[in-house]
Amino acid sequence: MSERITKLQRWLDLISYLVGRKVPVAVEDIMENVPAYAEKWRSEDKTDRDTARRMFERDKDELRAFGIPIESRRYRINYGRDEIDAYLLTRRNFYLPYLRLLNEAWPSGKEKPYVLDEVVLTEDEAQAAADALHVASQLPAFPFARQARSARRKLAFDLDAEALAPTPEFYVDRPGAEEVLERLRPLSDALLARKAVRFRYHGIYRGEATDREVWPYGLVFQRGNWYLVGHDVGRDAIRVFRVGRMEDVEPNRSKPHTPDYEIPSDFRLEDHLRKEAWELGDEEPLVAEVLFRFPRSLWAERNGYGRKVEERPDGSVVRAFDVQQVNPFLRWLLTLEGEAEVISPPALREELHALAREVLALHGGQVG
Amino acid sequence: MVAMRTTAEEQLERILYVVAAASAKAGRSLAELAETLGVEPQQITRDIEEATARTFHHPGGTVDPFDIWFEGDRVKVFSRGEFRRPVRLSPLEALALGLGFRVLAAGAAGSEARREELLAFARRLESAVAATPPEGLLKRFAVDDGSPGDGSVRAVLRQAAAERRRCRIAYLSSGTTRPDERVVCPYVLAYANGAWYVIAYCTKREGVRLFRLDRIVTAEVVDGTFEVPADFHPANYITEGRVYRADEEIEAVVRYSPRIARWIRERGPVEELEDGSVAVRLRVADVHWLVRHVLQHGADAEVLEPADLRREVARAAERVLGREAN
Repeated sequence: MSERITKLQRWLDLISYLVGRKVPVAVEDIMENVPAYAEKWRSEDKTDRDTARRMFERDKDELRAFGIPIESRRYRINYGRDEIDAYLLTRRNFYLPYLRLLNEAWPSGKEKPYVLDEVVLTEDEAQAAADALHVASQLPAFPFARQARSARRKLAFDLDAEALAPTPEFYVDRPGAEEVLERLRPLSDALLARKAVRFRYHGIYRGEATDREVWPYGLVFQRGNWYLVGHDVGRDAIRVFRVGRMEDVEPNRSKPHTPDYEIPSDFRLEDHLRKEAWELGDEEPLVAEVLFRFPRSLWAERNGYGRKVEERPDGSVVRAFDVQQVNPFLRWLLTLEGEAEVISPPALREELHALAREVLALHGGQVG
Repeated sequence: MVAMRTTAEEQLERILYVVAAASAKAGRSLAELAETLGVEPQQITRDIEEATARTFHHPGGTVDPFDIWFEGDRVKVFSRGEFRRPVRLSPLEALALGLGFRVLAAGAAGSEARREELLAFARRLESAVAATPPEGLLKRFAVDDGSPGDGSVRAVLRQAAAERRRCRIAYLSSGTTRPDERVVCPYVLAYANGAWYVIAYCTKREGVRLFRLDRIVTAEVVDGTFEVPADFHPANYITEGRVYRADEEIEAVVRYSPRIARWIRERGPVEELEDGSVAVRLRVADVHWLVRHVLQHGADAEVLEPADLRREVARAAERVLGREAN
C-alpha cells in the first residue's frame, strides 16, 4: 500500500469496521483488520506498531470529539488474569433516530434501513426546531453557523421543507463581522478546550491598548456584539471583553489536550447577560437619576432601562441607573437628544452638558 | 471562486450526509447536494473520490462497502450496509440547536408557560437526536438578541408576518409627543446593529417603511391579509447594519477622530485624513438614524456634509443643553 492515506479515509475505515457490530471489538482486532492501521501493525518493527497504535488512539479521540459515540469496554480473559480493551459503536447511538410528525405516517416508499428509536414531534415543535436552527445559522459572526446548517440538514432528512419553513426574521451582519469571526474561532476553541488566551485589548474611548491573558469562561452575544467573559489573569478578577476590540488573539498551544484552568462551579454566565455598556466597566459604581420626558418615558419603561423612581403628573418618569463606566452612559444619553436629562448627581449632569457643548462646537453651533 | 480550506471534519460531515442522502432509490442531483451543503459540486466529487478510493482495501467480509456512482448529474449510492442514514448531531451541532432554542425561549411572548414548554421540548429533542446532550456546552455560550421589553411586540409581528396579516401599531417617532397609530403589513423582521426592525408596508404613508421595535409601544393583529410583492428584497432597506431605502436616501460624510479611526476602518472603505482621522461616505434613508449614529460617538464623530445635517446634529446637542431649537 503505497499511496498516502488521508485522515478522512482512516476515519471512514475505522467507523466502517466498528459500526453495526453486536459485540465490542477488541483493540487487537481493530489493529489487525482496519486497513489504515494493519500494515504498520503487522510490521516486525516495534516503532511501527507503536505508531499504528498511537494513530488509532488519536483517531478514536478525534472522532469522539466530533460526536461519533465510540464506547470503551474492558474485558477480562484467561479466567480474569488479563484485561483487554474493546470498542463498540452501536447503530442506535450512531445514527439519527427516525423523526416523524404527530398524526403523519412514515412516507411509503421511504425505507427505514436500521432498527432505531423514533421521535415524534408536533408541528409546533418541528417549527420551533426549525426556528432555533434558523437563529443559530444566521446570528452574526456565530462560530458554529456551519454546524447549525448541518444540524438543519439532518433534521430535514425526515421532516420535509414544509414542516421546517423559515421564520420571517433575519439577522443582518455588521460591517466587520468577518474580522470578529476570525477572533471568535480561536476564542471558542480555547473556551471548549479550556486553554488560556492572550490578546491586545483596546478600550475604545480610553485610547490605550493593554496586553491581557485571560481564562475564557464564556462567550456572549448581546446588543449585536460578541463578548468574552473570563478570568483576567493580570487583574485576578472576572472581566468582560468586547471581541471586536481584540487584536492578535493567541490561544496557548502547549498541551492542547490538558486544560489550563477550571471554571469555578459557582460561575454563571447568565449573570453577565443583558448588561449595558455602562454596566461593564470597572470604575467606582455611581447611581444616576435620569428624567425621561413623556412619551420617552413609555419607551424607557417598555425597554426596561433603569429602575422607576418617580412618576410625575405630566407623564415623565425619573429612573435610576447603576453606572460603572461613565463615558458610554453619557454617549447613550446624548443619543436621546434631550428627551432624557440627568437630575443627579450634578457633576454627571455637567459632564453630559460639557459633551453636548463639544458636539455643538464641532457642528458649528453657538456654545455658551 | 476562492478555494475554501476544507478540514477533515468538514469532509466527514459532508460525506456522511451525501452517502445517506444519495442512498434514496433515485439518488440525488449533484447540484442539489452542492447547494444543500453550501460547497461547489467539484468539492463533493473530490470528497466522494477520496472516500471510495479505499473500498477494496478492507479484508473481504469485514465491512459492507458502499458504492457511489454518477448517473448523469445524479449521485447514487448502493449500500446494503452502513451510512444509509444521517448520523446523530455532533456536540457542536447540538450546541447550535440548544442555543437557538434558548434564544427563542428568551423571546417567547412574555409567557412563562410558553418559555418552559420550549425549554422542556429543547431538552427532550437534544437528548433524542444528539450523540451527547449539550448541557455542559450550553453553560459556556449565551445569546441575547434583545427583544425589547417582554418580547410581546416581536411575537405579534413575527406571527403576523408569517401569516401575512395586518397589524395596528402605536409608534413613537423621534421627537414626537405622542405615539402615532398606523396600520401596517409586516413583511419581515430584521435584526441589525443590536436592534430589531420590522420592514412593513405602511398604509398611511403608502410605502414600505422601517420601524424600530423598541419604539413600537403596542402591536395587535387587525382584519385583513396581504401579499408580499415579488420584487420585495429586505436588502434594499437594510444592509450592513444600516437602514436605508433605495428611493429616498441621502448621502452624508462623517469624520471620525484618530482615537476611534481604527475601528471605523474595520467596517469598510474610508478616506484617510491628514490628522489621522478618517472620513466615511454614508447613504441612509433615515436622518434621525444618522443623527443618533453621530451622537453615539460623542465628540469623536462630526458630520462634514451636508450642511443641513450638521445643523440637525447641532440642534440635537442644543436640546441636550436644554435650549429649545428654533
